[in-house]
Amino acid sequence: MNILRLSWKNIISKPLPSLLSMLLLAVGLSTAIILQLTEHQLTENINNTGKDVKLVIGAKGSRLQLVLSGVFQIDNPTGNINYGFYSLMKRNKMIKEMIPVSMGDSYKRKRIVGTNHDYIRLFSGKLKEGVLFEKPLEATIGNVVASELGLKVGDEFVGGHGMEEVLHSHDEYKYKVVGVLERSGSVLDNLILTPVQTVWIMHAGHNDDSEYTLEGTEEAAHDEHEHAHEEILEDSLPQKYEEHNHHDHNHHEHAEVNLEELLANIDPKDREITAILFPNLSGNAKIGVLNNANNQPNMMAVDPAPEIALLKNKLTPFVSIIIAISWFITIIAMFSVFIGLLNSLRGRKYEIALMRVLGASKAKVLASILFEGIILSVLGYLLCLVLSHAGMELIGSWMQNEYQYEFTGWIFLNSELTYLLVAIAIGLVSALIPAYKAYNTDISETLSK
Amino acid sequence: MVRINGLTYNYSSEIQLRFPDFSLSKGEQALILGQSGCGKTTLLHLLSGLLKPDSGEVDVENENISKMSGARLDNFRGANIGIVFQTPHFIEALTVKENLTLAQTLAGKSKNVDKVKTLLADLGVESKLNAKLNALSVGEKQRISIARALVNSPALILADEPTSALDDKNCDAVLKLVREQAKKHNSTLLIVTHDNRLKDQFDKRIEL
Repeated sequence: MNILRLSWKNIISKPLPSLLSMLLLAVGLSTAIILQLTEHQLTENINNTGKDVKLVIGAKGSRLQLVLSGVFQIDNPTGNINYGFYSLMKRNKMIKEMIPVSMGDSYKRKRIVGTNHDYIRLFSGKLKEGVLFEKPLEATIGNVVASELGLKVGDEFVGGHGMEEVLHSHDEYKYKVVGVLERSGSVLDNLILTPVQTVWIMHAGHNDDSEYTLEGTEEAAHDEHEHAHEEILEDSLPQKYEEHNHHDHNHHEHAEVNLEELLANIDPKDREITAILFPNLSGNAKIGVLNNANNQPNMMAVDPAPEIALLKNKLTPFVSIIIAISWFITIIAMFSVFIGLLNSLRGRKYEIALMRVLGASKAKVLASILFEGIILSVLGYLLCLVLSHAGMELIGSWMQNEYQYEFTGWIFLNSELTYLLVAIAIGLVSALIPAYKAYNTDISETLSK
Repeated sequence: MVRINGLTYNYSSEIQLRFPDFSLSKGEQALILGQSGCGKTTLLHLLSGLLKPDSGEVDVENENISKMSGARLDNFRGANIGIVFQTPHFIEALTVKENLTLAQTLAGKSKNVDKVKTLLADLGVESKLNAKLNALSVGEKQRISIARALVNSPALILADEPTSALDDKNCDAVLKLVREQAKKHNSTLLIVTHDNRLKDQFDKRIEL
């Protein structure tokens, strides 16, 4: 029976107060760790996804919204720009690379992005199976999309219009999965990629401008309302719905045959995309593109880096608040350990005297109480590791849909080890006064009582 | 073996205790008698080094423990002096066995469970080896506290009113056990008491 074991026995003999102290410490520390895990993964995501996009062009609107939607696939697009502009820019010899992206559709909350192969190259995406999309309606899907929705090469699905809520489904044409990408840790994992032409075909039937202005503006809200309204009417009158949309079964069966023809018939002004991404753009070429885009009536060009920096700045106060809360809980935990030890020692005064009678030196008594504080805090730390990583996994699954990026609880940061030192320091500090009291116990007086 | 010489202790400037000189040879058994408040417990604490005398000296095993201090004194006490208290106290978080092996390791000796078992058997409480202390009766606790005082085979056993909380039957039994065990371990036994039931059973009596 050594001193360390004695401390351990004393802790487990009072399971509830010990558990309370541990739990408080664990909650305090895990709040801080979850924050770090989130920050780490968010930064990694921003770096993986955002670092190679030097400029993004889109419809006039919020600059941040354009960056978030065009680069990170988080927000809704600012609107549409004409594909003609893209074609025009393509002739510019100074621009080495430019990638069109067209958003607005989704399948089971996973975004469908019309683009080209450069988009996959931009995020270093690699094929896991199948091939890259070539023809309209072909889709190459991200790893997470495949695993979550159970899609594999050869599967077909019907996309819908809208990002979050499907406002109406494009059930006249089916997407066909031709390839699945490897996990890349970038935005690709959560996307369904298809040629931009697919998007035009999907919207060829009902192409009013309002479809691309989504939530966020009064206009959009109004449009959505109308859409919903329309749909209710249509739902209640199924026959009329079919007539109205001119979509009969014949059309469906001959879809593939008609694609080329349909595409050719789409008015150039209806060929739209939501953004153009420019990787590897710098110097004069960048300034040239900036000026060119900003001179267009309905367009703007945005450099993502300062927008992201601005967003990070906006988040700083919230991060500070969470850090403050975690410290607050941790300090309460410290008091809990302190009061718990003091309380249990009050009842054990005679036991301390007894230890001395049995031959324990003052130092040994001091050590035994300090050990109690340290054991409690180390256990609290271990509990905090469990809480923070399980908590991160839980929060991650919720955030995944929100941010199109998979947050996981199963990564470990080196900085988590420093929290062990923090925990031990807390255990030591809170045990200091109780240990000192035990150290100075007047044995003779205590035993005489 | 045990010897006190010119021992005084000042409680305050008014209350000064002076103890008669005496000495006990190895294995001797003696009684210190006195009414409440005459300094019996104080003497016991002085003998075990829990208190420092204001003058005089206490020799145990030819060591002047009045001159010892700190960890050395604690260690000496743990290894050479076993104490039985009026009300038995234990580390409540531990079992009977753990309390006894703790007494071994705190005294700087190695853990010896066989010895613990033998002692408990000698005292008739071998079935309580793994019991928690709050499950024991006062009589059982007192036997186990005797076992703890003996577990390191100390040179000196000090017993502070070991029987005053017990009824006649238990008093006799406990006294008999303490004396037997002291003899078996060749320990000097000094019982401090005001319990007159013990008076006639000891040849050597020191009155305070």
